[in-house]
Amino acid sequence: MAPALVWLTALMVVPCALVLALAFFRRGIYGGIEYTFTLENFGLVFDPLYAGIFLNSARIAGTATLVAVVIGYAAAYAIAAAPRRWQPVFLFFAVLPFWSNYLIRTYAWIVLLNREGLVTQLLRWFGYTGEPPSMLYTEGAVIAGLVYNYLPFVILACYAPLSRLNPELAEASRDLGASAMTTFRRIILPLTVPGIAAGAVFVFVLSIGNFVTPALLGGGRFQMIGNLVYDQFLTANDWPFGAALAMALIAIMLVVLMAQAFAANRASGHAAEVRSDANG
Amino acid sequence: MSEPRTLLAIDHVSKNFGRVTAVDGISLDIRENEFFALLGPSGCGKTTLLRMLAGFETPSDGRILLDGKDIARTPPNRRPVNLMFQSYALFPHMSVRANVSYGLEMERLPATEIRSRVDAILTTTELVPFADRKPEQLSGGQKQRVALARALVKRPRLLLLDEPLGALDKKLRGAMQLELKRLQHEVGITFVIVTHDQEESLVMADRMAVLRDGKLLQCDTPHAVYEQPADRFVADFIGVMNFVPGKASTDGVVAVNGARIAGNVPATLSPGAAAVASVRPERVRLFPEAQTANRTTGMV
Repeated sequence: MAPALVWLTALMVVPCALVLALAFFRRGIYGGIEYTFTLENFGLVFDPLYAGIFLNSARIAGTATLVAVVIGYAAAYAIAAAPRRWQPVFLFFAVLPFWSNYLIRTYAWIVLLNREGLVTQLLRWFGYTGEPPSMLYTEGAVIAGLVYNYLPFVILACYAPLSRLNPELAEASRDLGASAMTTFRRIILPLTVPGIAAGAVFVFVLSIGNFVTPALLGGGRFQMIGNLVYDQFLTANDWPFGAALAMALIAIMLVVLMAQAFAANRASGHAAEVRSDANG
Repeated sequence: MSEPRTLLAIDHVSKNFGRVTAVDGISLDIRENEFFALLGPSGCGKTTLLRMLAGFETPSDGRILLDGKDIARTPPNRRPVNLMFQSYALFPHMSVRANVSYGLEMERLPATEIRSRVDAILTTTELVPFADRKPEQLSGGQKQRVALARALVKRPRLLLLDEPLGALDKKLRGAMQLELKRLQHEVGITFVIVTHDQEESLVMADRMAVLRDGKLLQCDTPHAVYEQPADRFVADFIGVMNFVPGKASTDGVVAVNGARIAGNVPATLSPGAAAVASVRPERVRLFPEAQTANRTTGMV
């Protein structure tokens, strides 16, 4: 316990506290930091210009989460339904992209999507002769990049409850007269929601703060909060405002994580409450 | 008494999994309102046979006739047959009432009818006080009753029970054997139970089938199976049996190392052939001196 606490304090709490402190200072005229207390950095976060970027980031991250959950759940379902001895092999292939660098994986999408990229060539091979479709530097490309990079998280998070599910539950549902679709909707899906929630939170939190993917696949045309923070620190040299933005981002992530923890806790806590009631 | 009607006819049914034959040409008739037991050691094919009756496996060969109609290829949700799973397979996210209602909701019955039928079966199975509990808040015996109620509320033509008492401790098992028997009388549904416990089938079943290696060895009343086992395996598997090796003799007596034991000699056995006499221990009496013809000597 103690080593973990030291580790957490040194690498998490102290840096965060430093950034938080930074957010309450003024920007110096030549880009330095003027050590006088102010709240205007936080006021600026709520400026329509920046608030809009926050909303846009949330929308892109939300869409990526939805797509990743649908694809990831289907993949996890297929893996869990495969013969037992093949499941580790399929899981290995699902997480294989993690073994290569995030940047390289994202560059691969540029190769795929650019005007004369693999997708266009494939279309031509099928007889397409028109203008090459513009796929790169669109919001779709950013979403595709985010989905691709975080999909393994969803697959792993959904595979866990799916593989633990007693197959006799689905059989019992069929036996009682339910179709395969009804069995999925009323038995399998509700029992694997915790996995979906965990995977979704992963994708959302990692996507909303991402700055590499929007920069490379969005071509700078789609600014997300991550890019904004990056720009404040490294381009605009406005560290205090960058710190305030980073704190706002952390606040959003905390709210999402706490909502998930609260929901999970309530699900198990409710059961415990009824149980003690039954015994008493 | 009128001739009992056949409800389910299993007609030369086989099931292969790859090169393994789990069920090998079994034919059986199960009668209306009967308590029927499929008995055998693990791996004898009884569970595979039960899963074919429920619809989870399709026979490789043969027919399964329910009321004269072949249901071998009907999916499980379209047969008037319900299965009580060995693990009970209660839906963990639903209350007892929701579990029991589930099957009736699938039939799209009116809500009032579902409610009254669920109430009735919860009363029969003494589950009313637990109706709002989740399965994890129930004891083993209560879970077993929920699984039973969930299947019975559908009023199936045939109820299949896969080792229904296997998960209960020994004391509870004895009580539940009688309880199951009572319930079966009360609801008037044909029960087919799978078990490896010979005592269970002797106590509960009207008739029983003994299976081994996918084959049917004997199908008869428990009394007949106990008194006239079809072969040595059945004799050994059901109850406790002593085997005395010797030779068959003409007068229906097997001669064994000098002792003579009277018994039924099958017509196929010619005098002098090697034979084994089987004697139930409860039929052995001790006397101070040799007196009857049917005896052997020994030391106490």
